Amino acid sequence: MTKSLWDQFYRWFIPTQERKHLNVRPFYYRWISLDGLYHLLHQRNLPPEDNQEIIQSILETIHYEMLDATLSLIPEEEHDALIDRMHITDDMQELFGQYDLSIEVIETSVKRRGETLLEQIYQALNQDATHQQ
Amino acid sequence: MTHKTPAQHTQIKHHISRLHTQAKHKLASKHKKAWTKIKRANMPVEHLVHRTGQAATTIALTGALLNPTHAISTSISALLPTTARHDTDGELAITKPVPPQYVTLQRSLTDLLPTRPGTLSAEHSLLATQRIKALTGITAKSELDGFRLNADYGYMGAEQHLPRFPGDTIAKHDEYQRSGITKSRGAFGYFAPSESEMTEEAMLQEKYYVVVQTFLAPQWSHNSHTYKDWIKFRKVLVVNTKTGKAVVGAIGDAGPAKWTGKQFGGSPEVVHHLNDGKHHHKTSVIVLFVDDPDDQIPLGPVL
Repeated sequence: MTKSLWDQFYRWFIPTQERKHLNVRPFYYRWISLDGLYHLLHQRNLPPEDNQEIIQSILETIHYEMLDATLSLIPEEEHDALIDRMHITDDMQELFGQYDLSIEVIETSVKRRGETLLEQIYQALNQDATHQQ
Repeated sequence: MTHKTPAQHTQIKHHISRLHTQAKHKLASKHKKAWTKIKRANMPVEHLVHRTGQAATTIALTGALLNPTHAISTSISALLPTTARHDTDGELAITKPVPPQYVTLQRSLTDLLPTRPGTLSAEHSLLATQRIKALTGITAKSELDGFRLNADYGYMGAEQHLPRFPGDTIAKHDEYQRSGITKSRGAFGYFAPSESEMTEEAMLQEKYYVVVQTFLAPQWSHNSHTYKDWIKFRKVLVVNTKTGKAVVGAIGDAGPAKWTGKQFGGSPEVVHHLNDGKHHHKTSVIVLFVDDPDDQIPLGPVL
């Protein structure tokens, strides 16, 4: 993948690119910085087709993991509505304010899962480099 | 940069794929209703970009199987390459790569350009706004708040760096130092009162500054003070009409002189980005005001 494409990928995720009700990122991206992935994947210098597949997989993996961490804290009958709200807001109060659960608990839990996941992704991307050393 | 062998590529893909599979199975087994909803809606990628102007960019970046018509107007979707679906187990799958988005942008603007530098017709201006919006998510207009430039389309010269604060030197600029730095500040003053008061925004404003012929603009002769205040550091979208590469810049200086035959100027960073990293003395561009009342559009490369 060329640097310019990476620029686009990178720029697409930065917070200032967000527009309320038009381009709302899932709330958990406040804890998941893609800067490191940007640099690491760029260093990997993979063929474009591999990069596309890896980016897709990483985005989906992040979404699945973060959703699992979040939904585990919320009553099942609320899952659909919560997922719908994630399309239109990333405000924690708007997303979780109505539940009988402190937002701090959600933040702590989801953030921790995100940190663990990022570490796993970093390791996966670095695995071959580690083996070479 | 580390160059990987095909075997190493496969290894990385394998590790990422394993994480992906684990996450998918975990979510699908623990939250069946949510998983059904996600699969039905083609999430998560659609969740990230659905109804956004960035969708097309993401298609180009990731090969994601979004239906372009969800996010892009009919006129634009006709320009976009089609992607074939390979539904395996109901998951999103990767298809063949598509051309870069800037190629689509370039093609979409070609038929709107006048034969020589100047303003776009009202109809073409509106079409340009619509097409750019659909492809980049950015609202860019010939006229904003009643103000216009003397030209929407023309040639952009390559400028030097501008001093960002009193005492700024070329050594303090992180890129394209060979371009040099002007002796005096830009027409709108320094970007910051002093080095210690420099901000990220001021740094980006200089890095991506654009020069326009304020003195030739329609409103200049009527109320130059108002026009100058309004246009100072105003965001503009610049698109190279030959390549489609685009950047959001800030108006940071007035010029170039009419006799140069150019209508715009660009910082070293702007000119290099528009020309795929190469220096170019005369770049054919469209320059439109960015309608960004909430200051949500960042300065820098777009496509």
